[in-house]
Amino acid sequence: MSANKSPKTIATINFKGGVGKTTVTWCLADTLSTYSNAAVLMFDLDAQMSLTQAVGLNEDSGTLYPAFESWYEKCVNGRRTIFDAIDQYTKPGVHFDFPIAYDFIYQISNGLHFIPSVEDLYWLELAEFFDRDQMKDFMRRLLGKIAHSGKVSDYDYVLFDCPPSFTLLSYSVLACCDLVLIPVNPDFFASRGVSLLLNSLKMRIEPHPTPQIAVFMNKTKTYANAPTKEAAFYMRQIEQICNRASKEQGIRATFFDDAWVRERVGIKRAITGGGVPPELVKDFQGLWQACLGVLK
Amino acid sequence: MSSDLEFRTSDQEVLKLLEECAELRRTLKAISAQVGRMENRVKRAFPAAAVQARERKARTNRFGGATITPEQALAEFDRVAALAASGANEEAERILEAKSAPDLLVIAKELGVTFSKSKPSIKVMRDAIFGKVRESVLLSRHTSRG
Repeated sequence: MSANKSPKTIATINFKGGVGKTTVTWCLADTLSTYSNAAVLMFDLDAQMSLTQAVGLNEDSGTLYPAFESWYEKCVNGRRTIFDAIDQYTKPGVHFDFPIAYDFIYQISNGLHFIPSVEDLYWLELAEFFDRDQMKDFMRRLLGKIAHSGKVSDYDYVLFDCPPSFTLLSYSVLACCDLVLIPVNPDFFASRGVSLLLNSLKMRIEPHPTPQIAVFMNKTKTYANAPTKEAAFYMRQIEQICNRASKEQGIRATFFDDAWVRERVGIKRAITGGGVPPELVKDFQGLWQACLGVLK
Repeated sequence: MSSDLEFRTSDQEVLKLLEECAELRRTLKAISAQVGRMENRVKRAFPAAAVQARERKARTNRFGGATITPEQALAEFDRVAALAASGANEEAERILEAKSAPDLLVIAKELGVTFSKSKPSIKVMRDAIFGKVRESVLLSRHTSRG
């Protein structure tokens, strides 16, 4: 774990649903915390709460793990959720002194901690309740509070699972994160989404600088341990889209042509089933190395 | 009731079906032989046309003799897609029309196109490749009001 150092922040985002944002966020965080000494903090910012439920759900019984359930109940009842932090931050004339402790951050393991989502985040979709310019700095301020609280770990990396839409919270994350990680799938509609997303990101974040963007192929169909020709076709197309966007729109968009993650049926169960499947660990380690490469 | 109208047993039914299959095979063989004889008579009556047909068949022997490598196939696809993206659809189509069947097959394979038949027609291959060209063009296009 590192001290006195700002953590590197990575936001997994794609406005298209079903590309694997939640799974990728969790697998990256799990791989990182399991196979390195890094301290990782993971946020679920999606009001659909997929990551939160995946972390807390016992699939055998269909109920929340008792430890998570009682912690979450205290967190919600004690107004220590991410929504409560936003609520306090946006109150006019009130100093932002939201207390940071382990009643706000759940400890999944020694190296992996988690800030869950809450249904109230749906209110953020109704932008008129919150001021866009004010919200822009929310995540930066919250991360600063976490880094200086002295009551929780010093995190090396912070990973955000963003909603599949442009909410004020995702705007706040995009305004401060070091890397936007975009998973895409080898099909026309997912590939089409990349072009729209790159264009949209620039327009929506302006006049603030667009962060470094990295796109990679998730759910890659393979043959003989390599992407199929069909997957390779979409990989080439997306690489060209990234190159064109970098050239024409002045954004920094990189396509990871070597760091793809293979398709695996039932990967979602890995979150509740004890870790990243062995055959995917190398894929996620490769993806992480590629992320570090652009973060340098 | 006469015995002909009684229902057959399962064994009798199978035997009956086998007899019918054998009869059908004999009929098809007879038709095939007859078509062969007609073909030979036509070839003898029009020898020049027969030579032309043989040469054309050799030329369109699709599944050997490609003149491009997989890398060249992808480069060629990029060239065609770039032309189509710039609005030069006819030129893009002309390039594909000029390609031989083996070259079209290499391009299609490199794009990950799969065919239901092992020996697809030139038209089917060309259409499939042009489908990928259209995909590529759509992927690169977006409307911005900004």
